[in-house]
Amino acid sequence: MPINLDTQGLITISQLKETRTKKVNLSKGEVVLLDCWAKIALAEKGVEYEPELRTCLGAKSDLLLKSNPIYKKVPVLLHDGKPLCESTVIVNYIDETWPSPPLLPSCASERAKARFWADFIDKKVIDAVCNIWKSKGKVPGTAKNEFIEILKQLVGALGEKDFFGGDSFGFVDVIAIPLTCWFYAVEKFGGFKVENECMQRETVARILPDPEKVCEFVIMLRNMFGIEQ
Amino acid sequence: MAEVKLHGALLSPFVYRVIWALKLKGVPYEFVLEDLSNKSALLLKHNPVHKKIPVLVHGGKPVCESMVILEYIEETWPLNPLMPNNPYDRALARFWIKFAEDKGVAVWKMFRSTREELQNTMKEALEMLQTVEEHGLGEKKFFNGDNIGLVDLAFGSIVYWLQVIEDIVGAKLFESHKFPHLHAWIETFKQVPVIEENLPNQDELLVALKLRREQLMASA
Repeated sequence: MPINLDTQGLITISQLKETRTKKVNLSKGEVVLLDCWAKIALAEKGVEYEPELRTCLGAKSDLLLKSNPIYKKVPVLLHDGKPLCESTVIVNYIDETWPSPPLLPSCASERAKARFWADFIDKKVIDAVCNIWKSKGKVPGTAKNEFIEILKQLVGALGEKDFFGGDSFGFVDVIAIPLTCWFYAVEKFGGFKVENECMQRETVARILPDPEKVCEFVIMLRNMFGIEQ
Repeated sequence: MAEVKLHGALLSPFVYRVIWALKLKGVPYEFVLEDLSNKSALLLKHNPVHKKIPVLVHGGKPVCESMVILEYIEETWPLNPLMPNNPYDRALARFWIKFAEDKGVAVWKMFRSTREELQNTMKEALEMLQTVEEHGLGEKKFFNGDNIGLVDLAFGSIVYWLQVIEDIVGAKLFESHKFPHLHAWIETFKQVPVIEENLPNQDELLVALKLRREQLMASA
């Protein structure tokens, strides 16, 4: 899981460009950004960015440590030099700063539902994914069952809709989708199959790492942490 | 105006966050007392995912999770704002709210821990306090600046309950010489009129939590 695994992707966003529909009015400045959630949110807003720089695992930059002294982790967004941390906080900020197209619904109770599911994903799904790939030897049945139960909750929340947000790609979709590229690794280590139809959206397909690459990454991490395969 | 109901239990720190927010905004509501050992069908219908209190029901629509409820209250009743008005400061507030949610659990873990586990849970709680003292509050009167805000409500419930839980488990964490800013802040927080009028009595809380801890240790 990129947010927990100390990878660094540094992307520099220069001047904001005109979106397809209207000019986003924002003071100019450099936006420096690490990782998938925010990348997808910015891409949805039509913000272009330059190619990323990567640093080695474990070699956290001074910039990262200064920007996130509390957690020392990615993702971090720097806007005009001011840092923000935590994926849901960053995506909320992006939505408020570049309001078009909106990621959160306009109605307060729907916004509350979106925040509820983002919170659920943040609290439950990430841990459940980690419990599977971090297991030594055979993955315990409890870890597998917990992951499946959690997925069922999410599927229930999605229902027949195209997106968690209803007719349009939204806040919860941004939070949920980067996890889908981890399903292949979870399946491989967990020994079960997850249906994955989420990779079609252009911003998502362009940004998310290849599931095979994620799996290779997980194997490397397991070796690094001394977890047997 | 649509009816507001709050499903909760007595002496829950999460419920008190919602009570404080509603009172600060002057929103009238009906309190629906839930028996946590025998949860009502209505609660389970409103919160099928977590099956927990608090749940706010506004015009029949449920909102769950205390900090999601607080953001909903802030957006629905904008008078007496409890969040900053610029996006960056709002993002910082949300960061600290999330920190309170993620790391504040150390206090509840401490309450539930056995003698063997206590050292570790105390250490977690201490680290949480140190981070907040050093990075979160600084010299400000409230986390929200000059006025009380959602971050204050998030930490208010944690610290007020910690002061009682410390006594019960026999730990001494929250010392004024170690946490001068937080100590000054919690006193200021408790003196805000709406908070002062809506705080659980500390003696009652002590008795109730002592009993709960005895029950937990007996079943451990």
